[in-house]
Amino acid sequence: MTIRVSLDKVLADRDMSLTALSERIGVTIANLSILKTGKARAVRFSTLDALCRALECQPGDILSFDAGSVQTDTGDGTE
Amino acid sequence: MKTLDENLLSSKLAKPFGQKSLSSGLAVALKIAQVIISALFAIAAVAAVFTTTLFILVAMHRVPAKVFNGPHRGDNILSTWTVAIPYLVYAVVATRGALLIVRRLQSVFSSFVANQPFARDNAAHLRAIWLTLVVIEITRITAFIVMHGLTAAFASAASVTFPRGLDPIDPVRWFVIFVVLILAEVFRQGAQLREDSELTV
Repeated sequence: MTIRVSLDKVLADRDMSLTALSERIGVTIANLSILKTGKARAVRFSTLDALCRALECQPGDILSFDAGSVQTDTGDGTE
Repeated sequence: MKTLDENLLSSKLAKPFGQKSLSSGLAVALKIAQVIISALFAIAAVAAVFTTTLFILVAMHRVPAKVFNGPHRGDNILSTWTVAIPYLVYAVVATRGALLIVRRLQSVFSSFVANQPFARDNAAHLRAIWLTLVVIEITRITAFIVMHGLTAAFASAASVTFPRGLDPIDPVRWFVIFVVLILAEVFRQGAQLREDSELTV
């Protein structure tokens, strides 16, 4: 995956737990864990909006593009 | 006033997936089909072994054998080997293939009954089904060619009766194979979309 998720770093900077974030934005811990561990295939704009509001950050603080990583094929030509 | 189709659609029987649905009914039918095809496979396998052994014994003059029924009554049984052996090989392959297909379909329908139609394994099951159908079809065509080739080389075409249903090209069978092939791809895409949906945050 060439898109890196830095949710753990942003959470650590704000001294916030995943559980607290989950309660604040109404996304389950399971789904936040999927996002945090980089297993997510897609992120809804609504989720990104809620994350940025709760963490008072920009989308670029949570997501970044790493061109050096190996791209994995999902079978439909997208990643 | 509801039409017959509306009544059928609103009835529990018309429910495609889950318990007490069309899928669960078909799953029961597949169990019955499995028993019947298992019996046919056993009969074909025993017949193939028995007939081959009989032909060998007749060829070695251990058993004097004559055809005792049908249009070739009184002929030496060896005159039928050019048709019987390829046909029995085809019968064994076809029944064994049908058994594999029924088992794969049972797995597919068990996922339908569990309300999980786009389980990832279903694409693999459907792929195995169309590949099995191709193998059966190729065996059928090969049996047809071998049967006529052996008869032309070792027997008189007038002395044997070719079984029906072994014509070399059957468009309907190939159409079914292509439909299952496309369904396998649809289920693969469906499983992919389902995984994408589950991994969307």
